[in-house]
Amino acid sequence: MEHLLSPSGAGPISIPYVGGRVFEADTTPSTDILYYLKSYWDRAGWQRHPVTGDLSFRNRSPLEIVQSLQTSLYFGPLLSIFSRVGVHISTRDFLETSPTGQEIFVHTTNLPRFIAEWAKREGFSNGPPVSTGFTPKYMRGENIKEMLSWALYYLQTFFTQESKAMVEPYKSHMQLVELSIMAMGESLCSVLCAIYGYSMGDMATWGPSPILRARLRQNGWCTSDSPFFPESMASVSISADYYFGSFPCPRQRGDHSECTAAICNEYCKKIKADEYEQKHVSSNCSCKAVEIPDEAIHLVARKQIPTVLWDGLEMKVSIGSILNPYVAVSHV
Amino acid sequence: MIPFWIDTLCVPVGEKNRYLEGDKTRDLRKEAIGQMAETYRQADRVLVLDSFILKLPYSADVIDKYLGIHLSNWHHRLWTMQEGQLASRLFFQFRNGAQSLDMIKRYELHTIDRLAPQNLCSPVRLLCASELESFYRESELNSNRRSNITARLRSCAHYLRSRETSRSEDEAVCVANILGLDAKRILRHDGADDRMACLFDLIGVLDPRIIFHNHPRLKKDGYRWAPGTFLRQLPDIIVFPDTQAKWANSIPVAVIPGGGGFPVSFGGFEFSHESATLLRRGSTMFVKQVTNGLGPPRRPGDPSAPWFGCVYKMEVQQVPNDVHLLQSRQHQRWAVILPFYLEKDYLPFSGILGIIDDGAPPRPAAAEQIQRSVWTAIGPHGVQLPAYAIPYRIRVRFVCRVNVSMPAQETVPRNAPLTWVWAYNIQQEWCLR
Repeated sequence: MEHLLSPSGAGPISIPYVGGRVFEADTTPSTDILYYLKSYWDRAGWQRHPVTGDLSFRNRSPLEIVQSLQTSLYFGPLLSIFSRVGVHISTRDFLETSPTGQEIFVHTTNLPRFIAEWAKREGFSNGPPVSTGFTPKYMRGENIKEMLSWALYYLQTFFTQESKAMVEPYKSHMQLVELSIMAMGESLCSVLCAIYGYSMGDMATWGPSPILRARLRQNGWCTSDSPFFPESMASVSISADYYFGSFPCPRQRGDHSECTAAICNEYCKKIKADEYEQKHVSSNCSCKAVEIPDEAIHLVARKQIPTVLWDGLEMKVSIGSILNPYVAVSHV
Repeated sequence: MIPFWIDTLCVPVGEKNRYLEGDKTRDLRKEAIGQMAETYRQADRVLVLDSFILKLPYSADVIDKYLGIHLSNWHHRLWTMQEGQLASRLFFQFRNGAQSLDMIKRYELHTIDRLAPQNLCSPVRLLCASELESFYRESELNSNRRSNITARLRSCAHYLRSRETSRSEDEAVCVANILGLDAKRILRHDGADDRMACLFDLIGVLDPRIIFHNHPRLKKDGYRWAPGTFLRQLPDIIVFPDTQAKWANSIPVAVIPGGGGFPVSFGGFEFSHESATLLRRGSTMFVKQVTNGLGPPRRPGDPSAPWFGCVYKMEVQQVPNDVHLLQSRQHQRWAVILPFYLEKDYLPFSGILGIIDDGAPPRPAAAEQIQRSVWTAIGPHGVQLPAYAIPYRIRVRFVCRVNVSMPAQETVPRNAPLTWVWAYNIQQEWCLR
């Protein structure tokens, strides 16, 4: 998760490396990288349903399931995508051993460097992908898009379903591995769009992650605060939730248990006219509220826009227009 | 010094000020509100004052500024969405200076390389700099106002979910201003429902799929199909699973103004029933096509029963509060409107249940009439589908939503009472009121 922006001093989320046979262990890799990715489970000896062809996790231990999903849906697409563009990386480039040597974690510190190499080879797009002619660059873009779609499909198919019956620590491992795949997928989609010209609006949404949502709640964010960029075509649910969830919400709004995903209860509070307190420029001022000047009322009656000018001593009313530019104040 | 407009000093309120020289035929407060869109549109600048944003220094980081606005009360009020979008230049007052969204964006883009790997991996900073500016320039960027009003309404409804207002009757006025419609016509009405009804008349054309929305509905005859509010509503006003969206009829249709109803072409079915037992939340019925019979298979080579040989389940969802006003009649004609066919490939779906108006054209009831009608045909994928439609509009008073599904046939109790229905194809015209 180190490739995602986070505030300085924020504690990282550690993604465990659960081990198992590395994705690139096959000594006879196919030249068809896409096929090689999609056939991983068959090469690794996983059973399929005889009629539907669905992958079967029966008679597999929780550890085997988590290992398989991390290898096939995290390292598989990652290595395959970079291999497709001629940047050769390995599983080891994304592993780091803890200081005690007891644990191994997945680290993405090297990812930006590999992305820079990818961008250097392909260049950035200056328009949408052109499908006529099927240029090599266009085909690489389509392949990568398919790899990411494949990973997302199986992420959504397997993770929630398989982790339901799991016990700890595998349940937590599944959620963390799921999060890492989402984070990687979202970032690679962003790179795909920049290099090959796809629209971010056409990319799938990888989130939300239950781990990141829980983190946001613990830090006082409301369920309605996310997505943080609802107007954006770029679905950055993972990188945004990760960034903002790493510190307390700067506006504490009390208990959010009654809030909905649409709006925080704080914003639904009605202001009672008799409880409203006027603000003064200086704290010891007790001047009375100023009423609308009569001249302004007459301007409204003449369907004109009244504006006021305060010079510190008196208020002057004039007609607001293009010839008499004015500032309109917007407040609650 | 520059003059300013602020509602507390420029909008007449109170008995004394609203009616000039006691003339109650003109409500100057309403007139000033009717003028608000122009007020903000013509302003040289719009300045936002919010106590949470005011705490931030001018020099705050772009992410802090974004959060300041995102979490502010100002960003969650109904009127301010209009005010922000109508502004030609929108400024925010920080503790020691004002800055426009454009200035914030340009400063940040000057210092940020959006194609740097770290920014591609995590575009949070970039979005903080640009998102609000794009959003509040929505009406400026969207210059072709009338031709895509259905899309703009949908988009506006989406943004309004996180907004609130103290006065529900203001919603229609604000939406009209945002969509570039004449809000003064809405202000001629009082009451939230009347104003929303007027809004839909002004919008004029709507995506017909809107009738399947799950928002609270207007309690006004002629408009019971329409959303009563967009505020605080989470679902989209067009609710279709992605897999089905491409099939549903989405060509905009004109609303019949003045409460004439909303004419749509969709599938569905009708039946007779006494209302007292039907209209309870959660009440379910098993329904089946009255023809119940012999006919070609579902699809060549497919041994499963065709649509008319299957039992469907209809479950009443939310029953409106005024349902007790409906007169209970023994052979009341009811209609369920579905976007597609009464066939398992197109179910489950939440359709519309309504009462067919008296005087609606009859559908085949007698065996010989049924035999003379084409009521099933092979559809686009070789599957048998309902084929019957009458060349008249069936007027239906909206009552509530119902969930229609096809349960596994072996789970249907053998002695379950069946309600016999008559299915229509997707060309059937209904007028929902």
